[in-house]
Amino acid sequence: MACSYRFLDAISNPNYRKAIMPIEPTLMELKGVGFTYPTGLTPALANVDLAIYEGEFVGLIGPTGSGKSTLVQLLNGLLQPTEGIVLYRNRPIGREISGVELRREVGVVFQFPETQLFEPTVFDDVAFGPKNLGLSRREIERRVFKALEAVGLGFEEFAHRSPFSLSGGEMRRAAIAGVLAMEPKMLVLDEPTCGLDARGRNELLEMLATLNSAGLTVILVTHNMDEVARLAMRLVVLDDGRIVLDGPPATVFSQADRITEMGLDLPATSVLLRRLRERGIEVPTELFEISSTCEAIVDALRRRA
Amino acid sequence: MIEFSGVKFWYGERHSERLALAGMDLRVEEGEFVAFVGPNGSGKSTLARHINGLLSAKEGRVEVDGLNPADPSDVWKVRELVGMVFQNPDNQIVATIVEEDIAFGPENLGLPGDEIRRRVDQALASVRMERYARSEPHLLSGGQKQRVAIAGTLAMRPKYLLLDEPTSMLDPAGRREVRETLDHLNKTEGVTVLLITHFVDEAVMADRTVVLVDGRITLDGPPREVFDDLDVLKKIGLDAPLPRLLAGDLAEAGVISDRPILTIDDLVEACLNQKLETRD
Repeated sequence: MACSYRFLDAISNPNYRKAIMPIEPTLMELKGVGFTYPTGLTPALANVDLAIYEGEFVGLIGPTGSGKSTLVQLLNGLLQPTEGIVLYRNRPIGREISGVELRREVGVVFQFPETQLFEPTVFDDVAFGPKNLGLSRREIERRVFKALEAVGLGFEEFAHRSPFSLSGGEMRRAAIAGVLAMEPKMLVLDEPTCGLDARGRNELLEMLATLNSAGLTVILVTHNMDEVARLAMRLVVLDDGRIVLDGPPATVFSQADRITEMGLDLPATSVLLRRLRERGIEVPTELFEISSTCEAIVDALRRRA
Repeated sequence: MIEFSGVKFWYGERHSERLALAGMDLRVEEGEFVAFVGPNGSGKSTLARHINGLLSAKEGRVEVDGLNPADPSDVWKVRELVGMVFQNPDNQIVATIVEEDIAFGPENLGLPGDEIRRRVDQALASVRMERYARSEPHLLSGGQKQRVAIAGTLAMRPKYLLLDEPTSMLDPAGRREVRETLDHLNKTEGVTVLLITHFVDEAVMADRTVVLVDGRITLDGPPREVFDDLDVLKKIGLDAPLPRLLAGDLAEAGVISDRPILTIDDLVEACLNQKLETRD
């Protein structure tokens, strides 16, 4: 094939087509969760029931102000729900597991994490968390090595450089390595590709797919529908503080009207396929990979000919 | 007209440092809609900062309507000509009421009250935010806030609007709103738009796309030409528009002819025409 832009196809999660079967143990569970900020008139989140299973790759999407950031902060115990309960491996957060303990299990990468790099070397920055756990020097080195390799920053090449000598994409991955060095079971990322160029974005997404295949549970908060459509096995859609859709990307994006009404987009492939269908070319509409989209169009056009 | 002639810039002390701008020649005429794209570190923001005098060329020269943005006696005139909008709308809004925020600039110019009123109303209308004149900015959506930030700039009556990734922190609806606003300002109100972006859909909506790599312009032309050669784009590390990507594969499969394709409309037409050609 002429086109070599198959990057996201190639890294698409191998579990993508596996239907979501709750056979894996539940990692986190929210039961009847609501949250109202002290100054808020209306709840930021209301009646949220959500179970995250081990090894899942969940895309969390929703318009600005829909409650995504609040949910992220509930997932790692930075906020306590004002209604309902959050459980980590069946242990209620705040009662059987403390916020500090929870944050070792659930790593959060906030927006523009590279602004929090501060140590003289990449090594020191990534080692910062493990050092605070009081681990042995050997264990710290092992973790830093592993975390840097995981984000694709070779230890030899990068560990002793200043974080500020790195490119934007590298700085962001160094910051993520700092979170991975805590060896969390679940990684939550808030708009991790914002501001990155195409290459940096693709490298970062590839890294997430690899980490997930190795068993890490990943929650990706994003406004980029193409990213989650290809990578996540499940999408959770928030609107106005409530979960309004929850299912595989194909199911969620088949509700096209609902998605666009709440101010979200369809993935670019879906937009294109729908337009073709409107003009009488019989293609399926819920395909998100360039290769499958291409095949579907070829099939449809050959049938017409 | 904005003109760069042989502009070189490097951060730090010495010429031996990597060049952020490595001999930039560029001319933007009034009324154009130009998108600047390129990898992180290619010099896009450095270029923007030369236009409004935040940085000054170490070699070569920059002119905005004949004025030198690096000259302290010209810089304020240049900043009236060139309005800037940044990534994060929250950092650009200063007042607690939308119309007061938009009035902030004209007030600082010392304009009379009725002129300020007129400018605020016009700026709000230009970004279609009239209904929110008395709203509190923090209650607005991201796209609305960014439109307020744009209106605040418009109230200064700039000839050029220079935006540095104005949609990257917005949700899809916010992106659409800002894109439509920019299109309207350029096509209907004649504002010259210079848009720095990582989004290929935004580069495609411009009349002209300038691709920067390592502080140099490597491609410059209508998006239809700039996004045509997939091999070149890949080498640079730029995304190509989805319809262009698919067109290559569909042509190779022999179901459409390999005509230049940039937009969804182009691709849909190509698919429909193919049917006719096959029938003939």
